[in-house]
Amino acid sequence: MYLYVYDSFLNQKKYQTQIAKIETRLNDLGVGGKICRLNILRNTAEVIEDALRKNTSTVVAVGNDKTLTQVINLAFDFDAVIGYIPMDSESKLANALGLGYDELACETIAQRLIKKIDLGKINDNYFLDNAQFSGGKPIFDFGDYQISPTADNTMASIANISSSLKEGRKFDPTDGQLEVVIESTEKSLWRKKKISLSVFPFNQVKIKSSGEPSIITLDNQQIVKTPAEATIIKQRLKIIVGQERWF
Amino acid sequence: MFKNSNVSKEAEVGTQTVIGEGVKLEGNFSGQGDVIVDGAVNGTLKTTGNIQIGHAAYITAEIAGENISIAGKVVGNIKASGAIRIAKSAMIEGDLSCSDIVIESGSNINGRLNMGSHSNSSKSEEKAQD
Repeated sequence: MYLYVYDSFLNQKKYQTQIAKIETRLNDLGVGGKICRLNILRNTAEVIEDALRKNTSTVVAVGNDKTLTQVINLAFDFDAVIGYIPMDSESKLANALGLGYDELACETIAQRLIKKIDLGKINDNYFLDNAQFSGGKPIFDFGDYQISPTADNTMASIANISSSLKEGRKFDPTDGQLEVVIESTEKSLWRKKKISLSVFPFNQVKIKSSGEPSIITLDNQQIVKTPAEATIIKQRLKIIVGQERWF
Repeated sequence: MFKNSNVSKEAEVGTQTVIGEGVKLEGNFSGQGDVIVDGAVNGTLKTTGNIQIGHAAYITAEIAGENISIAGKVVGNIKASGAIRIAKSAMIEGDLSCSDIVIESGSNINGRLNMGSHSNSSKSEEKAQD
């Protein structure tokens, strides 16, 4: 049994034709199911939890990357299979997972190629893609050693897939480890901007900061402040992927 | 011999540690994959894989790895189970221990060199004298 969770922005008129095409395609492929349209008056958590208690085994997020990570945070504890139909052709996670776009993604759902992938956790919040740091100077304590950025123009993150990394490096969310990634940018008036990348694989790290606390944004949504602890949940998230995935 | 191509190939699939410019590592790092250093390290740096020290790196540490390539500044002893390759930009203050070595002209080294096969032969010479 499938539950399709439509994000609230799809209630706009301009998406009606696209939604209709998707629904027709899903029915043609025999993977139609219950539809849940989110709106500001509806509690997403309640809707998903209720459906998962009633024989729903697959929850499909229909919307953008934020919709997917929102659904994962709500459905992961129920051991459900997660699917994703991106309505945005620029979706970076859809690209990383090899899903295709709207109708093409419906075919990926029907093929039902399920991969168990890693999920990151900071304090009590899950993240699929990455966790980005802003403000303060984060210090990553791995137990025996610690690392810290020394340059001014640095951007730190914790990567699982890290679909939007500027440097273009690809990470494997099935390798059983997360990576602390620090991008240092050297700006110069005459020379081309130089980006230097630092990568530290880990299973568990404590994060503190010197001076003011750093703000950690998980999958562009939830916000956590330092001090925090990041861990990996190895190959537990069951997600439908396509053949063209990165990993 | 140390192969740079191996390191870059693994870099693409993301299996190794990279200490880039603008980052400082303090403490005792002990890993299993390849390590690329272009930043600062203070403590110890040990891995079972290869170590590549770039020209921008500044390391004050004991270093141990399989094959080690050095193009930056290192203060501390360096021990390779395989080969050490020293580029002309390297500045090293410390003892080197390895089974094979390549030193480019122009590099600056201040320390003793201990090569596996030579140390074995000198021990055997001492025994023969006894």
